[in-house]
Amino acid sequence: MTSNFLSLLFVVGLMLVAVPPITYLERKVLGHMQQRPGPMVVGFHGLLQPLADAIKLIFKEDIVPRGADRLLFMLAPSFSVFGALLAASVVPIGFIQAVPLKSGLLFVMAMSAISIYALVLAGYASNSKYSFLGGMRAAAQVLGFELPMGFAIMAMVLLYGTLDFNEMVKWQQEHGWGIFYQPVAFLLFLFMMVAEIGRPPFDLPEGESELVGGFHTEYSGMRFAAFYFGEYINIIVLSLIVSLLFLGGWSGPFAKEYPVLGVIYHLLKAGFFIFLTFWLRATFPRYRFDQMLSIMWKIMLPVSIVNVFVAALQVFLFRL
Amino acid sequence: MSEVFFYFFSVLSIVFAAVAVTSQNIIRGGVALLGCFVSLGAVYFTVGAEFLGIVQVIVYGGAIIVLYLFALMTMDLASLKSEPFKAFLVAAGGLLSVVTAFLLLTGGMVLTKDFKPSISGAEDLALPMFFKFLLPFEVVSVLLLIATVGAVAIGRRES
Repeated sequence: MTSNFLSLLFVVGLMLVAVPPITYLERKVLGHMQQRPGPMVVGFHGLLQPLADAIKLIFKEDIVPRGADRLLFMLAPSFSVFGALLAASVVPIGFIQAVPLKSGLLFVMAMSAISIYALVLAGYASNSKYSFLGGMRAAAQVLGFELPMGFAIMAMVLLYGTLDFNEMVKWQQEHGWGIFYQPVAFLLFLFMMVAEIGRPPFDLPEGESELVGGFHTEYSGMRFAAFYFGEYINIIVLSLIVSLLFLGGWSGPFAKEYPVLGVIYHLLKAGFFIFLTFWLRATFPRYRFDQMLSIMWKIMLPVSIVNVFVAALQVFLFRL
Repeated sequence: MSEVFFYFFSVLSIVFAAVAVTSQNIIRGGVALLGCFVSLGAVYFTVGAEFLGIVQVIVYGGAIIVLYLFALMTMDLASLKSEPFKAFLVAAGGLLSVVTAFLLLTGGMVLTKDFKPSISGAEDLALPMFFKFLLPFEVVSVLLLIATVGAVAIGRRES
């Protein structure tokens, strides 16, 4: 029990502590990709920038706009953080897993479904047309990506025959990484993951250029920061899950003999996907709303359904 | 310990359900319904049916409430309020609620002894569903297909 409690502390602590450095890294990476230095003023090469941002956010006035639905307005950001942290609690990082759940993968999906309410409710409660449009877009986007994502995951579940993360990694240690069996599911999952965390090119709920800030236009101070925490924790959690599902999680040379190496492998693989989200943000323009919907419903959904059939055939023919 | 949580989440789900039906603001009602569904999922967890609990949260908490809220936000709610009071509809609803309450109570009487389910994981649920009860399962899926086709037909006629 105590080891479980310790690992819960470790996972939650890691998630909360990792967010400020990741925002710093994101700004640096974006900056260098756009041939500018990024934050440079606070500390050596802007290293203290996250700290300065945190101090600013903590001391900023917490504003509730006139005409807003006070209760929902104040409640909405907490959905984002709680959903993300609950999802994080069942994801194993190497040998560290806070809550060993048999249906861990499904639990993560359920929690990410809950954290979407942060955007929808914030958009509604702000009583501002920009926020409202952002919230509506978020709701439509959820309905769009959840089905293809579910089917992509279903293909992997068929392959591994389990919903337990540990069993999945064990399977991959014996048979090889999942990405070699199901490259299409990998691409689909990557695509839908970017849509789920609302990052470019699928950051329609925010849409700075047309919606000011979308659902979080009216927020300030720590409530605004809560959205950021939720978003970045979601990035970390989903990156960990991609590497679990497709890249063998903590498997690697000598990982069996030294479990600590497994943690490092897993975090490195996840780190690549975190970097990938920055990369996408620097590279791609945002999709238009109708383009996003037609991509989700007309291309991704049929492809993902066919892919489930392919996965079932694989399992049937090769007795995996 | 899990019994404490069982009663806590049961009470919570009832409170949320009460808020959902009595709330004046329909969006807040929808959010309360979300709370009700999620705490129901938690109730399943406390008695050991974790797969059912998760599916409850994904299907009802995730997909259905998002659809509800999406539809409610785009509707003209002011015109709904001005709709006249119909005694017949209230009477029919009241009668149905009494029947449902009676059914639930009689069902509850049978189940008072022990609330440990024999089905907990995905496998335990899937095997009977796709082998023992395959025919009822397929009948239900045809029923759902009919409902979908009907909904599309009605939607197209109005536009």
